[in-house]
Amino acid sequence: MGQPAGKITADEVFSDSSLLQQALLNLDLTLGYYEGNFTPFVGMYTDELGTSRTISYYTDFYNNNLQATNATCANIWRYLYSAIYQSNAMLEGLPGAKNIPASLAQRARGEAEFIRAYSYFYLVNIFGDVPLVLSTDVGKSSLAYRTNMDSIYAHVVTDLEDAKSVLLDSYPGEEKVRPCKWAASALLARTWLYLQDWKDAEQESASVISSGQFSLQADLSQVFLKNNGEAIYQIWNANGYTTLSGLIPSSSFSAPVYFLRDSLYGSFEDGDGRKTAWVINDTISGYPYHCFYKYKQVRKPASDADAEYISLLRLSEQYLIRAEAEAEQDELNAAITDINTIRMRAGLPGLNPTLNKDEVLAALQQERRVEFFAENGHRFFDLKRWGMIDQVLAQTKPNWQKDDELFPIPQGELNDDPNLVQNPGYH
Amino acid sequence: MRRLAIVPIVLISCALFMTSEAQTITFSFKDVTLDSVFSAIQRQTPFRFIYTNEELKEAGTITLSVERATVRDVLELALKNRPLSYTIEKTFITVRRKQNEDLKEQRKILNGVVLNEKGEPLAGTTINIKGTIYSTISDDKGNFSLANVNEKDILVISHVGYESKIIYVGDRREIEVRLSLTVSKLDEVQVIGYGETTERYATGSMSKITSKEIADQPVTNLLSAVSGRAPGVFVQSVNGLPGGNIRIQVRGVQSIAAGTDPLYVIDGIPFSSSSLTIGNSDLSFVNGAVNPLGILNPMDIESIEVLKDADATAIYGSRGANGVVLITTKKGSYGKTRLNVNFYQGYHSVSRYARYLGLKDYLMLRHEGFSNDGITPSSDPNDEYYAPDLTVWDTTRSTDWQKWFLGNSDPVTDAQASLSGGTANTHFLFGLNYHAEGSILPGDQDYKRGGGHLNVETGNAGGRFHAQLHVSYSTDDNKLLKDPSAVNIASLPPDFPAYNSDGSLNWELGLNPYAFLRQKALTKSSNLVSNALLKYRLLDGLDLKLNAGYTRTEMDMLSTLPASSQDPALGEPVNDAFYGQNRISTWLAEPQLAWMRHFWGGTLQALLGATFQQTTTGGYNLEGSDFANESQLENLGSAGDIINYGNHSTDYKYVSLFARLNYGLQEKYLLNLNFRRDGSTRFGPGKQYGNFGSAGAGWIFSKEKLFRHRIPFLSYGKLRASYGLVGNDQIPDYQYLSTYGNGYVYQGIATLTPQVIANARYSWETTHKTDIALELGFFRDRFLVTASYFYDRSSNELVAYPLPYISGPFGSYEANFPAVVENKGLELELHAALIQGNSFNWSVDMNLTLPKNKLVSYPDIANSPYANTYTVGQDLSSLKGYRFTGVDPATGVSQFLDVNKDGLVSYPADYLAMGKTSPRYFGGVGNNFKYKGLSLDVFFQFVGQDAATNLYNYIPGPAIQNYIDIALRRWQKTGDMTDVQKASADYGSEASSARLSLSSSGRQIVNGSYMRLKNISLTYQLPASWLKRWKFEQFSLFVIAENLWTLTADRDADPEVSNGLNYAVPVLKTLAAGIRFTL
Repeated sequence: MGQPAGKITADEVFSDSSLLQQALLNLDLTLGYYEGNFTPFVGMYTDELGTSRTISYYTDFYNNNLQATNATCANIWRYLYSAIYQSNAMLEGLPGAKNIPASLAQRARGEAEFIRAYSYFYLVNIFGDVPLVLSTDVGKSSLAYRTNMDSIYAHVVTDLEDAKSVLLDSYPGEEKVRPCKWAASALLARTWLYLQDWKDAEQESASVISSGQFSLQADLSQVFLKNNGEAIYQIWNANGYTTLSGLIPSSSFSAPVYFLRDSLYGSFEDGDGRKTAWVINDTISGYPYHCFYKYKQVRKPASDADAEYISLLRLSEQYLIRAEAEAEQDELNAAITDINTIRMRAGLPGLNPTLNKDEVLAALQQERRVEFFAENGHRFFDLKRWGMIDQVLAQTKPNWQKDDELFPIPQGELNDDPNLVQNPGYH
Repeated sequence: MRRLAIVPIVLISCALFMTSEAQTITFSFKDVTLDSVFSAIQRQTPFRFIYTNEELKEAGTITLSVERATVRDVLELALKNRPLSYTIEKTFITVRRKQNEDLKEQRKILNGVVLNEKGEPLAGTTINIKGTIYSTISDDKGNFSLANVNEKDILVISHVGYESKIIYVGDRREIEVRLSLTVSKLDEVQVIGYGETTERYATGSMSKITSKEIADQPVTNLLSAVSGRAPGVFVQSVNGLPGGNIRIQVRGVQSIAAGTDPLYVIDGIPFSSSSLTIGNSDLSFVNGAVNPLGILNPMDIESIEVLKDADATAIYGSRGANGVVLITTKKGSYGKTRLNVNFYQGYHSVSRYARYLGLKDYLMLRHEGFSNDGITPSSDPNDEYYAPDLTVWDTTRSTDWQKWFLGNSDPVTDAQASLSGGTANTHFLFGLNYHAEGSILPGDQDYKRGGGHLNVETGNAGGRFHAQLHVSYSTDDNKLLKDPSAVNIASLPPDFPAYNSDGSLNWELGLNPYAFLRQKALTKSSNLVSNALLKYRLLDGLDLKLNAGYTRTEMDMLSTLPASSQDPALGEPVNDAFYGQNRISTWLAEPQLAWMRHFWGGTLQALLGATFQQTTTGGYNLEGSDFANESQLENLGSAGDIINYGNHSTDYKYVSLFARLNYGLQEKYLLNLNFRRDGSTRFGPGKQYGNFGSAGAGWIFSKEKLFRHRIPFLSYGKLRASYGLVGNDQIPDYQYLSTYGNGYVYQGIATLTPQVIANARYSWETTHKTDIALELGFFRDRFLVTASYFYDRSSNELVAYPLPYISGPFGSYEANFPAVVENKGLELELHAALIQGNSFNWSVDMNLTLPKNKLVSYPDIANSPYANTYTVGQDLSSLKGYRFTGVDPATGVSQFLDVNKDGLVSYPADYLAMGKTSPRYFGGVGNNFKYKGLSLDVFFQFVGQDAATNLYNYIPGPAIQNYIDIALRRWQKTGDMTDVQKASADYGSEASSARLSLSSSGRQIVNGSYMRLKNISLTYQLPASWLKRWKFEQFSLFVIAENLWTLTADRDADPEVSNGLNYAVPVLKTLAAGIRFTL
């Protein structure tokens, strides 16, 4: 009996440039799946979003009532590890690849390392210690233990450093939907910030800002357009509207699924352009709703000039990373300058240049809150790393408990890998 | 006096009693019959005569006088020139018709022909000279020839499926024997792998469902007809809707995670039972995974045989471990052309409803939840405690959403017509069928099926060549609801308004019943089964056969997602439609050599064959979106955007060699050996071939003199045993290969994504099967009892071995389960013809299975994915969870056992065994009553089991959904002793947290035992006089009913549909009436 026909084998993928390209694109695609399952839910989980829905699919997040069996948590975990698996498969296959030009092999390596680093970065911030899996070998992964966060961060740094060294300055193709060198750099800057390595964070974000490749969009309504000047890494979609369209109310007749909580809406300073450019107000059945409106193209045909892609990394974050790193190193003037860059773009006056360190940091925290609201889980991660989450959420979230800082490890994972231990507070 | 035919044989064999002959006789008669002469001899001597009056009548009258003559002299004189002869043995004189003097006492050659009840030649009949080892077999023309036959010899003529005949040879040189179809159940033909046998001579374990049993049941899916009728065979409807899957498990759960389906074989061609819809959620509808067997027309089926033990299944080698279901289609028969028509009309309804609360109770419970938690329901959607069911909706209007969803009228029509007939050499059957049913679901749903069936058999006059061709084709059209979550409609709150005041759909609960109705799910399937069996006789006793066939199943699916059916709050709705086409086809060729020979007083049958099989699957899935208009959704051309999910294909090849050796000695001692070597492309290089085999033996002890004489009422007794090794290759293709397949589209390019975690190491699983059975028949087989004990041990089972997602995005990979699983049990079967009268008959059939399943060993289970699911020494269906210890009378909150006393109820430390869900026992009882033309069949099915249900998990909690009526016995005030905790409306309350633990506690295990009046049929056959007058060969009227009544221990969950109402539609109840006639 011969070999069965009709399948593309891994050997074929690693000996054909176009097949390899196709496999590579699936890495970015997978991150996109993850994003849609994460952003609105983590928004409800913190103090950003409310929901009009009464079913547990939504309310379990809103009420900080997650169970180990929560399907959305399992999806987040699954998509991130799926991206890791595919990256590992790519990195394992490349050394033995045949007929693949060296330039493509290098790019593939860098992209896979970036995707793997991005996935682990989110995993540690959502779930805490997670298994560090660097191989597709079932024997090595199926009974893995949780690895401590430091080791995972160390690996994220390694991957990003290497990705930076092999990826090119420019994007492959016209669009910003695959990682280039600066995407690795931008994520590395964020990683140093989270690790409180202020010096490296400052340097890394500075290198992105001064790369000359990116510029802040003066018009707030264009910050999330596809391939806009501020975007560093975006997720492609076919018709110009993102998977986050669910966040946006589609009609003024029925209650939106998600809306901005009053505490968030009230936190914008008067005159903040973002309060009008990124928020839409509706009144339904007599109740006023303020809704997420960063992405606007709920529905536009493809190739429209207003088409949008989900932004995972954008330049304004680099300014605020640098600002925070500078402030922490007592370079207050530089910090204020960077914060003001973002404030001024939003139509706000600059900060008082005489602020002390705590005041600068407080201003930075406020700035991050309104700049990145309901975006990639920034609020959740920021509150945690600032050590403020219990204190802040206690004000608006009656069910918030200390253990809610980490999502539960999905029950299915605990079942299948008896060496995994659940996070505290879940059972 | 007829019995005398045998008596002389015995007498002749004895020594002559010489002394009596010395006595003399004197008499004088004129014109008397011979019996006067015999009477005189009897009076004057000790001799006694044996004769028949008929023979004497032919001899006429006699005038004779003798004086002091010897007996011999008198007889010589008296019988001279008469057609009578005599023999003297001791003091008995036997007078009989005169034999041909030339042949007397000579050995001769006897030629004969064996015919069936229709006068057709019956090949393969055994003709044995009783008490000797000499026997022969009739050829294709029914002819046989036996040398060395003595006129005193008795022939035993037997054929599978026919009544044996015993014939006294006498002076004949040529005989014609007509055999009639057997009356005893023991002698009915049973189809086995690559052959036929009868229960009497079988060495293996199998169960048969006849066409009559199928015809009596108004089932849509053929497999439903098996339910409860075959011991050891557990049948479960997964979903009550048309096309819904039906699972069959033969002798327990052999395989753990996947592939527990038996091998289905239709007229010798393997048929894939795996759903073509699996893996595509957009094209998996409210009826769940569709089983292709559902497309078969039940009425085309002559019999279903379920093969169970190693002896019966080992000939299928690597595919026999889960049992084999042989489906045999109807064939034509000799005689004038007949038209058969069968028609019924009836209706379906849901067999049972769950008892949801009415409006008043519902509202009371919800309010009570709020007051228990000290909070107030709010009408502000921004409020934590927003409760539209109490504050916004009209609380005076009530809808029974369950009845709305499941309680619709559902007519069913079934019509069948066939023509059959033929000459001695050529028979045919041609049938057409049509089946249509509505739906119990609301909206525009229905199911239609139609098809045809042709079967032709022909042979040349000499009988050397024989060919049989079979083609059947059916097609169905299933219109259903698309979204499987539509079943949640049943638990909507009674005051839920489907529409908002402005006429738009109400989406506050995330679902809307009318939206479901706007989504269409259309499945069109077609199924072709064809095969040819060619046979050529090379030599006497040596046949060359070729079985070749082709099957093809296609499914064409379309589901629509019109914008108006979507929750607008989840993003601007887009008109979407999903298109899928999937097909599976198999071709098969099996050349075989069959050899039969008689020696050593027995019959040896040998079979040698080879299998070449190829199965290919293929298909594609497309999504059309951006349709400008909802009415265009079925036309892909109108889509603004088409997303191609790519096509897929697999190619499975299978080659085998198989052999069987069967020897039956004196119809008492039976031996059966099977061997099969299989090669399958489902395994990686170096692992593709495997050997399987079995040995079976039987001893028909009732044929031994000891039993015949000592226990005369024992008409049949057989002890049989078998042992063997079989396998299972029901795993997906290419799992040993690391492959990439179509992902989605990124940057306008179709991506490639890994498809599987390859495992090159997995190999065949093996099951060792042991079977011992005692079969007894009493009073000429009026009572038949079979008791079988089976003991199966599976090791290295092929399973989708669970993997955490950290190992890859698949959740599992194909691997050998490193454990030993045992299935054993007892099967009892009873058939009793209680009353056999001229006008009234009553028979009972009963079967009972007592199965046991056990995980015998699992090395290092603690470090496996099964650590917290399976326990060595326990049943594989055992469930673990928190131990529910009751509701605290003080607080009204459910309590669970804190096993490790750490103050927390947590996984996995506090998980305990909760019970198992595999059946403890199951079976059926059927009664058949016949009175003149009336026939009544009543069949009950019963199962003793525990079942997991989710109906109890949500009560009474903060979710806005209806609860079942056990909520009425909830805790209400301090001191209440009850098992249902208090109502709660706050997600943060203690009761709400406990509610979540309930769903993984023993509370979800209920007694799932049930007894179901599975089937009733009442048939009235019109009397012969009427038939004659109207020129019908047969005409009957019937009323049939399915699932009419069910008795359950737990009254809410449907006992058969495993997960209770929340996941699937319960089985349906059918009532129908019809006619059946033959012209």
